[in-house]
Amino acid sequence: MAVAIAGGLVMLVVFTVFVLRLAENAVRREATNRVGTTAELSARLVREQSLRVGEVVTAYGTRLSSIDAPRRARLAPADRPRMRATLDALRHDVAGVRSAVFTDRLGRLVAASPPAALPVGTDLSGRDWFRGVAQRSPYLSRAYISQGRHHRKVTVTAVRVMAGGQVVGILLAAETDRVQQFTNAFGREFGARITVTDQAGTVVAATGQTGQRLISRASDPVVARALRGGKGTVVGTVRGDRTVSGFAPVPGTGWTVVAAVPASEAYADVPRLRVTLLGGAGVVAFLLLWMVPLLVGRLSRARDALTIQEAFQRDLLPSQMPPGVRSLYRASERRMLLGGDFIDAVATPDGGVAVLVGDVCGHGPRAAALGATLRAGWRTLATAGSAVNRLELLDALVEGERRDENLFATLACAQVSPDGRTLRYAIAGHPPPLLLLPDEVIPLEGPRGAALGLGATGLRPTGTRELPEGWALALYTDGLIEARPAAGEDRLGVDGLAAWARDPAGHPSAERLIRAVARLADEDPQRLEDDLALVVIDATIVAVGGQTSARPRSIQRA
Amino acid sequence: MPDSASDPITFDFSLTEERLSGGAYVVAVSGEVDIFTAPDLKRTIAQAIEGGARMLVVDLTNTRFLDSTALGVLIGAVKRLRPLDGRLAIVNTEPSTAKTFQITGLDRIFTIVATRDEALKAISD
Repeated sequence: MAVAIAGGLVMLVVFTVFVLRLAENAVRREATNRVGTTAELSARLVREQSLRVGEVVTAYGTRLSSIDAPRRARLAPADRPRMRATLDALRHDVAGVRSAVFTDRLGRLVAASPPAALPVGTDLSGRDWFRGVAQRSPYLSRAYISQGRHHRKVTVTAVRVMAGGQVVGILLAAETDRVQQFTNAFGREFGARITVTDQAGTVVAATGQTGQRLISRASDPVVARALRGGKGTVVGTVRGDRTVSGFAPVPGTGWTVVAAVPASEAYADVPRLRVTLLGGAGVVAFLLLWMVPLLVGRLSRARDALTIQEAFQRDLLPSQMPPGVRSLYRASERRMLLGGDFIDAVATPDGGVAVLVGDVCGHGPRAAALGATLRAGWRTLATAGSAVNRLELLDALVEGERRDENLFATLACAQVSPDGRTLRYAIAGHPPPLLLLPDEVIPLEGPRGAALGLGATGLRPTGTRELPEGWALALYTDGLIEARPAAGEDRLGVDGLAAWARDPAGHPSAERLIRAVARLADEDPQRLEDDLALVVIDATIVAVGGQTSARPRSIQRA
Repeated sequence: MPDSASDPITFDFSLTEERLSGGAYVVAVSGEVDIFTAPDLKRTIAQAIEGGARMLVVDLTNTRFLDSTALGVLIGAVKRLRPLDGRLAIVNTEPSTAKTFQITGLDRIFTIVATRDEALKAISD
């Protein structure tokens, strides 16, 4: 059993590890994908916002489509009020715009709101938006530190302003906090650290970051891949922590978004899953280690009990009957208890044969043990030639060896001389044996002694009969005469049993008796209220045999 | 139930207990006493003895059948009473029960009489 349990445990461990792997991988994959999705979603939202800002700035630019192109970075006096009004409106009316600037088509500063720290005419064409807006308008710039008083990190949306098919200038809207607010809000929502970079990999904004310095993440492989237009997820170590990162480009801008979630949070479901699975495995292991041995133990104890019961039951019967002796023993199936009936037959030292039938009152192991003890005791007496004349020794055996004071035993035994013509018998509180003579059936009522274990003392009587040819002797227990041959009928009784021993013509027949009892025993074992035992000596065989080949195995071996 | 005669469990079996003035305790048994009903008889007798009964009458007038388990119960009662200086008498007129007592030799151990009065007389002698 230990091997089976160990095997079961090994299989359980292998299976659990396998399932855990599969499930963990699935959970991890799912969690990783979620981080990638967060990055993509962020990129799309950044894109939406920049498009909207671009549209707004473009709309403001159209207000300037009727101005004359500045000359040497100076507006015509008639255009100045509109320029001021437009820039102020752009700065005040559009959320997130900190300053609005207009340059001529060569990138020289023309006007600004609030008024710029730089002088009019300052060449700003070195900024990336100047080249960018030539490619596409609106253009979202890189991050840079503004030249204003606060030196804030800004990004600029630049649009070309057209008038009469000509580029008359560039309208710029500088923003400082919009992307930062977005990364904070979105990062909180998704439990991720969102980093938005510009075209060069410089951080525009990152969740929880307020620094106004320019920090490049261009060398970060994740950012580098996003800058090249790639998107995906990686699991790696960021500043010493296992981190799941998703990355995606912001379409149409060259910006990138990276969403990073600590592995411990991204894979928070994994420990839960592990606990659940290991818990399940633990339950199975518990069943294997505790319940199974318990059940197997119970089963084996039950089997042991049955084995013991069978062993006891076997001890109540001889392993072998001498020739000429036939027996029938049926334990009642109704009580599910050990019976106390016992039988034996043995060759006597003078060449005759001796038989025994007995019954310990009561049932269960104690009765069966006493029955087995009595059988062994009687067998010893019989093989010593005292099968019927020393029953007081068996009485002493009962008195001395019974474990329950209320137990007592009855028995009948008989000894047949080698020539088969003399029968000696003794009865101790037992129903009368039936002697089948050629023309009559005689119950051997006496002489009889009391049952064994009642405290009777002194020698016990024995009976002797000379026998004619063709006799038989039947010994039985009360289970037989107390049985009801048919439901509702009277108990069989001694007279009923004697009637079974006669053929229709009234002649005694041992054969008929055995057949009738076998029928009763086999018909419906449930109907037997008690165990029943029958031992028949058939004189024809004993007489013909006449020899001592009827020795039991134990004696033959010796 | 037509089959009840073959089913000892459904056999009518009952016990009545009676404490008489003079200290005798009578247990009257009716029906069949076998392995299934003998424990009831055993318990009743044991409780009576524990309750102080020393003069016990087991009335089997209405008992139709006693098996060997029942005999064991009666033997046990006699054995328990002996060291307590108690006595037990059995009232029986049923021939088959008498036969059982005779076969087992218990008629030589038990005081068996035909009426309750005789029993009371026997145990108070």
